[in-house]
Amino acid sequence: MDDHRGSGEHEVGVGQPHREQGDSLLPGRARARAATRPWPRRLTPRLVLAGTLSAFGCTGPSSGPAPAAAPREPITLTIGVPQSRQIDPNHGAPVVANNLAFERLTTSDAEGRTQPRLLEGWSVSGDGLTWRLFVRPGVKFQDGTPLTAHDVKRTFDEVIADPNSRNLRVCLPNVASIVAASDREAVFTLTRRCSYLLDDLDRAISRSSADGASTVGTGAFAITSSSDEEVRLEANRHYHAGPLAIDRVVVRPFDTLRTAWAGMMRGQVDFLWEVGPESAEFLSDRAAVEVRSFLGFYAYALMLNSARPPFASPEVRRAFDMAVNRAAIVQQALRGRGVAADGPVWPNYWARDPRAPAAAFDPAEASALLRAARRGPVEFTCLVPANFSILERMALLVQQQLSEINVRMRLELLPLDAFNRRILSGQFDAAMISILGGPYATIFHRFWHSAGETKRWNFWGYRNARVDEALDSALEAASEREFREAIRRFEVAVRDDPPAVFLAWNQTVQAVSRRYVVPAEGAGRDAVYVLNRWQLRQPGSAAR
Amino acid sequence: MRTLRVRFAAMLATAAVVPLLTYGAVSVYSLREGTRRTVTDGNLNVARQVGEQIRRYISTNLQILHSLAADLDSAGLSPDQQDRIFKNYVLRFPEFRELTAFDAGGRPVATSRIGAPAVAVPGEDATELYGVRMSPVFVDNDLLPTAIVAAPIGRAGRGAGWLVGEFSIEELWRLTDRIRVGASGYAMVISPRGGLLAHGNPEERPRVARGESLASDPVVAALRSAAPGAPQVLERPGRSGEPMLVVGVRVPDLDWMVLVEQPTREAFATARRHERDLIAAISLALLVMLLAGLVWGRSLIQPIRELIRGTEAIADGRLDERVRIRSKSELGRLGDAFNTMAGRLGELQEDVRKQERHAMFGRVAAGLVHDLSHPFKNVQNNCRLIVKMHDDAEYRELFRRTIDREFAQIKRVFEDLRNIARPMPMEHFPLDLNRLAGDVAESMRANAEAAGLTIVMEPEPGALYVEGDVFALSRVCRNLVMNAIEATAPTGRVTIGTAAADGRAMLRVADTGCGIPAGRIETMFDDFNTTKRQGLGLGLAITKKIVDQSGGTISATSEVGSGTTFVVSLAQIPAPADGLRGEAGG
Repeated sequence: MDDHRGSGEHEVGVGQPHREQGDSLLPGRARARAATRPWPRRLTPRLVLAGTLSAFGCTGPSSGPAPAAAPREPITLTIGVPQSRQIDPNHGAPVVANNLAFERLTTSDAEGRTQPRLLEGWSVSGDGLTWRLFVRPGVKFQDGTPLTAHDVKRTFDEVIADPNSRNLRVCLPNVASIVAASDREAVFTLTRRCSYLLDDLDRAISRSSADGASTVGTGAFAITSSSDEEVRLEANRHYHAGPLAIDRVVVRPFDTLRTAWAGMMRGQVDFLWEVGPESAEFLSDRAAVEVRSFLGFYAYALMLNSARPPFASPEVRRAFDMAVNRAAIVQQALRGRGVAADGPVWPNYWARDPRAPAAAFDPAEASALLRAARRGPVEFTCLVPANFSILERMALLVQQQLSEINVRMRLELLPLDAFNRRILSGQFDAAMISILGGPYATIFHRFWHSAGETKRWNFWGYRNARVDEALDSALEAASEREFREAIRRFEVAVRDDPPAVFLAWNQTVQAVSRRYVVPAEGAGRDAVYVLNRWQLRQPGSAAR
Repeated sequence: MRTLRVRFAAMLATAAVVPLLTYGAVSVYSLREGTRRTVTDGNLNVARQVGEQIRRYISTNLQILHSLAADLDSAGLSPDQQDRIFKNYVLRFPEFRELTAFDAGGRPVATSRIGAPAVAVPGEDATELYGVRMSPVFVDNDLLPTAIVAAPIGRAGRGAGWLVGEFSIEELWRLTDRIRVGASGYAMVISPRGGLLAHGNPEERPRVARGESLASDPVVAALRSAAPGAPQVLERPGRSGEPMLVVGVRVPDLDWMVLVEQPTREAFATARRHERDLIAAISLALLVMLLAGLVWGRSLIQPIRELIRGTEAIADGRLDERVRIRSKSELGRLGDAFNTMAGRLGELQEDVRKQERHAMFGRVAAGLVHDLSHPFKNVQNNCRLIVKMHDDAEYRELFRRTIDREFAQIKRVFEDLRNIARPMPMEHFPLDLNRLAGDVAESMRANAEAAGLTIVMEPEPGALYVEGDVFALSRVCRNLVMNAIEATAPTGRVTIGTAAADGRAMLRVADTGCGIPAGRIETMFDDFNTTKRQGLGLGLAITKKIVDQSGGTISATSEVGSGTTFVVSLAQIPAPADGLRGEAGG
C-alpha cells in the first residue's frame, strides 16, 4: 500500500483547494515527493538494502498479518467518503480506491523521508548520474504476473514520452535513458545530478491485466467494480506482504458527512475517511468509533499573484504576511484543529530547521510596511472556491484582518471549474487554496522555483533568485547537511519574500470503527496507507 | 420445658426482635424514600438548570438577532456596509453561520456569505420566540444542530424585510455533553414535537442525526400534556431494557423539554448500599441478640431443667441424686437448697428404713414367738408328761397326736414365711368354687363352734367353675374363714357364700365381728400387717398373693362394730369336661 493519492493519470492542474493530503487531480494529485536525499556517500551499493527492513509497509510476508488458520466469513471493510468534503467531485472515493489498488516504488516515513516500497533499495553512482533501482522480489501484480524492472522502465518511458507529464517532474526531464538491466534492476541515467529523482518516481506502477481487460497494480486490494455508488475491491491474493485480515473493501461516496456518519452509526460504514473539524468534536468519546487525526501535507494559504501590481512588491506581500493572525484563524476557522503555518514547508519535514523564526503577527509593522510600499490603498480580489465553508470562512477572516491595515479584499466565489481556469490562466489577484507542503522537497521546487522552460505549478508568477538558488542547492546537495542548509535558506528566502500568506496546516480527522485495529505505524497519517495491516479487534480486547 | 422455652422466645421476640425488625423496616423505608426523593430532586435540578441554560443561550442569541434587525433599518447602512457587518458578525459569533438581510420582496440585500445566500425566511413550521421566527432544529450536512431564524427588520414591525440567520446550536450539544449524572446518566433535549435535539451520551448521537422522535416516550408524552413547569418523574426501561429513572422538565418560553435519564441501579446505588448496610447491621444486631438470648436463655432454662431432673429423681426415690447448677444467682442458691433438701431426705429415709427394719424385726420376732411359743409349750408340757406317763399307752397315743399337731402348726408357720419370701408353685385346673367353699366350711365348722360361732353357707345354685390351684384357693378360703372366726365374738356368725355375675365367680366371707377401721383396710393385705395383737400377720398377705397368682382380685368392706366382708373375684369358666377338674371340683 502506498501513500500516493491518485492513479497518476492526470498530471496537470492548478492550485488545488482540496483539503486532504491526497493528490489525485490537481497539484496535490500530481504532487512531488521529496525523498530522503540519495546522498552519494550514503547510497553506496553496500547500502542498497539499507532501510528496507525498517521501511514502513515494506516488511516481508513473515511480518504481515498472520494467515487465517481456518476458513472464516469474508471480512468486508466499508470506507465512507463524504464527497462534500471534496471540492473536486472526482476526488475522494476514486482516489481512496486507487490508493488501495496501486502501489508506488517508494513511500515516505512520518518525517517525509523517502523509503522503499516496491523497490527493495537503490544505489547512486558517485557522480549522481546513474541510479540503480532494485525491484522488491516476489512482488506480483493482482493478476499474478511478477513485477519486474521492465515494468518500471515501461512506466517511466511513457511518462517521459509525454511532455505534459515529464515537465511536471523536476528530474525526469534530465533522464537520458532507462535500462532494465535484469528483471530486478532498472538503471536510470541522468544528464545532471538530481536528488529528487526518487520523488519523481513516485508513481503508481500498473499494467494491463493478462487478459487485457483491466489495469492491475500491486496494491493489497484489486478493483473489481466501479460505479458512482461504490468501488469494490477484493484482497489481492498475490499480495507481496502476505495475507490480509480484510477480504473485501467497499469505497462508498456519500453526499454529505451527515449521511456518511449515519451510515457509520448504522454499521454500514467502518471507516469514515474524512471528517470536518466542525464535527470531530461530536464524534469523539464514542465507544464504537476511534477518532484519529493527523497533520495533513496541505496548508491553507492566500496565494498572491506576484505577476499582478498589488503583489509584485515583496513588501506588500510581506506586509500581508505580518498582518494575518494565524492563531485566530486556526481557532475560528478550524476550531483549533490545525497548526498555524509560517511557511510553505510541512512542519514535520525532517530537513526543516526547527529553530527558524516563525512569521510574526504585527499589524502595526505591516501597516507601516504597506504605507512605505504604496501610496494608495491596496485593493484586490480574492478568488474563493464555492462550496467549501472552511476556505470561505478563512477568506472572511483574512478579509477582516487585512482591513485592519487598510486593505480592501474583495471576495469572489467561483465554482471549481471557473476557479481552476482563472488560476491556470493567471487571471487572478489572489486565491484561497490549500496547497501541498510536503512530504517531499520536490514540492517546493515545483511550486516556488521560478518558472523556467517548464512552468510546473508556479501559477502565481513568483520569482525570487534566493529561493531559486536555495532550491537548486537542495536539488544538487551532496550531503544531508547541505540539503538541510539549502532548505533553511529556502525558508528564510520565502519568509523575506513570501509568495503567499500561509495560514494553517490542516488537521485531518478520520473515524474508524473499533471493530478494527489500525496498526501503530498508521499513527499520525492517513489510515488508508496502512490498510493492508489493519486487523480485526479480537473479542474481549480493550475497545479504547 | 417447652412452654418455658416458648415463653422465653416470645419474651425475647416481644422485647427485642420485633422492635428491632420494626425499626429496621421503618429505617429502610425512610432511607429508600428519602434517597429516592433526593436523587429525583437532584436530577430534576440538573434538568432545570440545563433547561435554563438552553433558554438563556437561545434567548440571548435570538434577542441579539432581533436587536440587530431592529437597528438595521434605522442605521441607514448601505448594502455593502451591512454586508461587512454581517460578515464581521458571523466571524465574531460562530453561533451564526450566515446572516442575510432580505427586503420586503424577499430579495437578498446583504449577506455574510461570499456568494449567494443559502438561507430563507422560515416557513409555516416555524415558531415565534422573542419576536423571532425559528424553524425546527435540524442536523445539517456537517452534523451540526441548526435552525434558521428570522427577525423582522426595523422597529416598525414587519414589512421592511427580514434578517435571516443560520443559527448553529452546537452549544446545545456541548451543554448536554457536559452533563453527566453519575457515571451513566445523561441529559437529552427534546423539541416541542418530540424530536430528539441533543443527547449527552455520545453513543446515542446517531439518534439525533436520524432525527428520531421521542413523542411516544411516556415522560415526553406526560410533559407535553402536563401544565408548563410541572416536572415529570418516571421509571421506565431504557433502550437496552435496563430500568431507568427519567425526569423531565419543560424549558420555559421555548417549550422544549429536557430529560435526564439515569439507570436506576446507579441512581439509587447509594441508597441501596446504605440499605444493605442498614439491613446488615440490623441482621447482625438481631443475630447477636438471638445468640445472647440463646445463651442467657440456656443459662436460665438449664438450671430449671436440672432442678426438674433432680426433682424427678427424688420422686423416683433416687435420693442420692444431686443437681449441678453453677451459678451465683438465685437459681444457684435454689440448686444448693435442693441438694441440701435431697440430702436431708436421704437421711430421713435412711432413718425411716432403720425404724421400719427395727419394727419389722420386732413384729416378726413377736409373731414368731407368738406362733411358735404355744406349740413349743404344748410339746414341752407333753414331753414332761410322757416322762412320767410313758407306760400309759393311751397317753402315748395322745402324746403322738399332740406332737404331730404342734409340729404341723410350726410347719405352717415356716411355710407361711417361705411363701412370703418365695411364691409357692401353683397348678391351675378347673374347680367348682361352691364345692371348695363347702369343704372349707365343713372343715372349719368345729373351730367355729368351739368359738361359739355359727357358720352359714350361701352357695350359688349349681356348680361355679373357676380355674385355679385347689389347694391354694382352699387356703385362701380357710384363711378368710379363720380370720372371720377370730374376729367375731361368740354368738356371732360367719357367712360363706358364692355368686356369679358378669362372667366372674365370687367367693364371699362375711362376719359379724368388730370390723376394721377404714384406714387399715388399704394396708391389711401387706406383709406382716395384722390387726391382731399377736402373730406374723402373713395370712391376708399370702391370701392376696394367691388370688393375684390366680388372676383374680380380692377386696374388703368393713364397718367397725358391724363386721367385715371379703370378696374374692375370679374369672368364671364353663364347666369342664370330665377328667380336667381339680380335686375340689372333683
